[in-house]
Amino acid sequence: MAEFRLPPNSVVRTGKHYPAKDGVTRSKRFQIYRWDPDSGENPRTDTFDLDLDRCGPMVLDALIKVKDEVDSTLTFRRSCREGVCGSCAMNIDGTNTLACTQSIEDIKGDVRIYPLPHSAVVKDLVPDLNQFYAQYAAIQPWMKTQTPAPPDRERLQSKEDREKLDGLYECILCACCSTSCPSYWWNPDRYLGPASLLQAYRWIVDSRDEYTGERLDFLDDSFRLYRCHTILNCTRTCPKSLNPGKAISEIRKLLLNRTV
Amino acid sequence: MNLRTPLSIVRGRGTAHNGVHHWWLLRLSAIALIPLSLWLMASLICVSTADHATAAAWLASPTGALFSVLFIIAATLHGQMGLQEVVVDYVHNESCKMISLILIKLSAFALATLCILAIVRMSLGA
Repeated sequence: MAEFRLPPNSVVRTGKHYPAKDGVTRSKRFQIYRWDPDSGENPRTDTFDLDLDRCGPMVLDALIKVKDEVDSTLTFRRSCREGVCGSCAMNIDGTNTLACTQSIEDIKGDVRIYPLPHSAVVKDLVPDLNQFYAQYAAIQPWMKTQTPAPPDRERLQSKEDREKLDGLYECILCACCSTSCPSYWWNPDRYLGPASLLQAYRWIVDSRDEYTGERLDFLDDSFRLYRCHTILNCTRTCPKSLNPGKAISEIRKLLLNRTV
Repeated sequence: MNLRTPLSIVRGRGTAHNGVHHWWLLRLSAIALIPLSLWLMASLICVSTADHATAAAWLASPTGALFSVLFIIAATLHGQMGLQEVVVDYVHNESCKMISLILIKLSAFALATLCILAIVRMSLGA
């Protein structure tokens, strides 16, 4: 059966509390998931009270402040700090999003920060995304053609055809959508998940690609594509406001249209 | 210990080429069920206050029999396909999955046959 309960060694316990220094007027409480694979202990949530007057506006600023000033063992991925790299995807205040574009002010009450749901944790807020990347690789996200590229210039594409890629090419593969999808939680080994399917559609609608049929063949499977039940957690959570649910529906339409 | 590469797991046993058909039939039966369910509800409300002979005559009439049979076909088809999705989503033990699917499909088939047989008998006056 699908697992609905955490295994005993994954049950989250209450961890340490790092109170704010005296004289802090604007303090905010951050509850952060911690797990160290080397300790052999269960995961825990540590509580950090931070001074918002001495912290940047985004959740990532708070995480960096904790790592710099309170607990240097806090582990998380981050790079661009402006929502284009997708490294700092995590579950903040119950929703998968990017720590660098999530404003602290927008969160009422304590800020609860967990790794992306239903993924194996490497350490603290770092999830294991190997399978997610393998799924992306499996849809072959590159231009596939038989016609060689013109020797003296790029492959041409009409403005209308280029517009079909809008809402698709912006995906930064942060994995927020796939790890928010219940279908992906239950069948991550066989269902490709919203991120890879949106990327698959990005290559299916690319007018320059010549392997549309093979790409559709690859997806015509009750697991790879059709585990999607249009729950739309993907669309709701996407930090780039993209619509993977719609991309999946478009793939299903194309698959149907080529049979009738 | 699993030493298979992530890509080998994802590519798995390849494409089953069965998705479109199942999805299309599920949607088609859902569309059919909209008017059929409305008709059935309206009819049942009308018949519910009548006596047994009127109800039997309604079911035996050409329209009553036709739409009832259509409803049963659409409902059992849709129901068993929907249940199949639930099992495939949640049941990961291969033997449990197979047994559940067999039970679902055979009982849906038996149920539909039973209902249709009853309606046919009534409309033929047997």
